[in-house]
Parts: sequence; structure tokens; C-alpha cells
Amino acid sequence: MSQDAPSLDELLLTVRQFVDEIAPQLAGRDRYHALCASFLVEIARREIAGGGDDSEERAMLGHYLGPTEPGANGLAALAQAIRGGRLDDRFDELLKDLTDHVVRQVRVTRPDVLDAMHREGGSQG
Amino acid sequence: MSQKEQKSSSAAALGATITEGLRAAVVRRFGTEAGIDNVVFTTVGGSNLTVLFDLIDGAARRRLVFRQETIVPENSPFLDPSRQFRVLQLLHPEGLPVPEPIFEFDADDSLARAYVVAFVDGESLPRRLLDAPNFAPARQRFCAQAGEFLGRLHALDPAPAEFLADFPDSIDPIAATMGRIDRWGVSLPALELAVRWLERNRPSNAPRRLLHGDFRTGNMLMDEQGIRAVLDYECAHLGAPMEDLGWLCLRSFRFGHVDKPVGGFGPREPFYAAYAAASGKAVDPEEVRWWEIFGFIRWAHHNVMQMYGHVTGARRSTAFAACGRNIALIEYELLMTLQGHYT
Repeated sequence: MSQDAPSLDELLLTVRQFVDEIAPQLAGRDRYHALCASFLVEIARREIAGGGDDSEERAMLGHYLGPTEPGANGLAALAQAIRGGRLDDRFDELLKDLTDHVVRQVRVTRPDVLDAMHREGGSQG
Repeated sequence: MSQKEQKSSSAAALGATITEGLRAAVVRRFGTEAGIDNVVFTTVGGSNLTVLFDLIDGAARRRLVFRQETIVPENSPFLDPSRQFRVLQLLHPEGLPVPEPIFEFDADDSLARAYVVAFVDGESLPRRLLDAPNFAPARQRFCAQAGEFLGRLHALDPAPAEFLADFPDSIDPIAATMGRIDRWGVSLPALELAVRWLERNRPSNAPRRLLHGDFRTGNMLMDEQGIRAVLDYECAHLGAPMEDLGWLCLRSFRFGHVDKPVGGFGPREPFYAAYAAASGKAVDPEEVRWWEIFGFIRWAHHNVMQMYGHVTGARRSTAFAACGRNIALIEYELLMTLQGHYT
């Protein structure tokens, strides 16, 4: 269903701009929480812009766990497999793949903290 | 009454209850002529209430700090206030820069889970300490002072701190940390991979010493000359000395100064040298690195705790919500450190 303007992203941007506008007028705890609120809205905007594509995550989980039931918590299953030592001989491969997984998360949460090798357009580490 | 008015009215009632409880506790200990004045409620600390006040005892007036644990998180990783107070009672007579413990609340007081220490003036905000021009001399001294503090702490006989022996982090810090993450119902493959690495690369048995447990930028008061008091004993436990060194050097606690591994203040060499001089024990940099890998797991665990408090509704706030998303940032630093990209 289509909606009238503003778009979803514009709505979130409006909220963030308002919070940014009032934050300097606040003090102490309220100011800190306003800055956090602005940060959270920006995460939401990036997450929505990403479109919720989890194909890379599903491919990674399938690579280590094989086919899984729809709705299964694949990350929990992967965590259990690692803890049980069943993937010890694939440590280096996992280190790289889990780095890529976390990089995808950080691109949504705080892309500015990524190392140059993981910025958009950079080579994968 | 509006919601805002109700909130401020209940805050005022709480303030009056605390002030009265504090006054009664002071009279119990210092006599009916004693009193309190200049009471200031601060907002520092997520699950602790901190109140500054003057103790008036005859002609003498002394600034003190009341600290009360107000929220005990489910599955808490923190020491109870009574044992925190006992740690301070061990450290202060040794001449270490810690707040002087004054008294602990007991069953005959109206307030519980609380103690009083001497006020120490100083700055604790990392950004100011690391960036403000007036703290430049303190920054110069920090690495040596931090090394000396930990060296002296770890040189103490651990026997009087045996009351910490049954704290889970004294028994096995990895099991304690991962056990809490499990109980919060969170699965993080990157942390599991790091645990496998830790298990395969575990250092040989280290001597067991009293550790601060949370010695990092933000948990100490400083002036322009350097460290005035080391605070926050909620995580004190017995363990391998290098754990405290690794925690201070954790990349997550460098506040933008990633090229200065010792808390964002400076290089490792003067820190390790001062530690060795004060403790009589050389630092093994590889063992410190092992504890830094563990430190990321532990810091992720703190953020899981805050996220859990938020999503379960126990302690909702924008900051605790952000902690949930902060976990991925910590995992990223952990994996980059494991691969040797970050040092």
C-alpha cells in the first residue's frame, strides 16, 4: 500500500532532526539520552534502506550447518556448533566469514567505525 | 497530576527518604550532635545512586559520598556493596589512591545495600581527560601511574581478599561470562569462536591476586597532575594479574585514540615498565593480548546485559537500546584483533 508523503525515511529523518535540534537545550542525562535517540533513529534509517536482505547470512549459515528448517535460529545453531568444537578445523574460514557477517551489521549500526578495508568499495578482509 | 509531575513528585519523595535515612545513619554513628548538609543527588552510574553530602561533626565538616545499589540486574555480574566496601577497607590502608571507606549501612539502618566513602574531587569523563588541553600533564603521567597502581595492587597478599573466592569471576572468568550470556538467551557466534581461541591458547597458570576488575578510562578521578582516585569496585575478584592490564588496554576503551593502547592515554611500554617496577613481575605482552581478547567478550557481555534490561522492560532507555546494537561493534574489534589487524 502506498502512503502520502513524507516517505518512511523522511518521517524518521524528521524525528532525528527534531531530536538533534532540542538536544543542545537539554542537560546531563536528558541530553545524553537525546543523543542516543538520534543515533537509534539513524540506525533504523540505514536498516530500512538496506531492505532486510539476509541472503548472505543465510548462505553463510547453510555453508556451515547445511539446510535448516525455516524459522530456525541459525546463528544460535552456529554458535552451538562452534562451542561444541565441531568447527574447530575450520577456524580460519569461520574467522573470515564471521568478520564479513559482523561487518554487514556494523554497516547498519555505525559504518564510520569500520576499517578502510571494510568500507563500501574497499576490498574484503 | 500530569505524568511528568508525578515523576518529579515521586523523585522528591525518594530524595526525602534517602536524605532522612542518611541523616539517621550519621546520627547512629557520630552522635546526636552530628548532621548532614549540602546534599546533592548526582545521576552518575546506571544502577547505582550516588549522593554527595557534608558530614557535620562538631566544628568539623567533611564532604562524603553515599553510594547505593538501586537496581540488581537479573543475573548480575556485580559484587554486592558489602563486599565492595570490604575491598576498599583492604586497599585504603595500603596507601593506594582509593576513596577512604567511612561506613557501611547495616540491618539497623533504614537504607540497605549502601556505603559511604570520602569525596575525592576530580574529573572522570574520558573525552575531557583525553582531549582537554589542561589535562595534558596528566596524560603524560597516566601510563606510569596506571602501571604503578596495578603493580602495587597485584603485589598485595591476596589472602585477606579470600571473601571474593566464591564470586564466579574468581573461579573461571570465561565460564562466568559466557554463562551469563547464555542465561540472557543470547547466541553470538563471534564470541564462541573467540572462546575456542582462548581455550587453545590459554596462558600457563598465573599467580592468583586481588584484581580491580574494571580498571579503565572512565573509572578513575583525575586532576591535572594525574590519577587522584581509582573508583568502581563492583567487579573486583581474584584472578590472573594480566587480566587487569588487558582490560585497561581494550580497544573499546580508547575513546577515539586507538593508537594509544593504554586507555587512550599512551603507549604500552611505560605502562608495562611501571607495572614491573611496582610489582616486581615482568609483563608478558602475549598474555596481556590474551586477556584483551577475553576483554572484548566481557565488554560484549556488559552490553548484552544492558540490552536485556531494555528489551525485557526492566530498565528501558535509549542508551540501553543502543548497547544492544553496540555488541556488533565490539565483535568487529574482537575479530579484527584476533586477525592481527588491530593491536
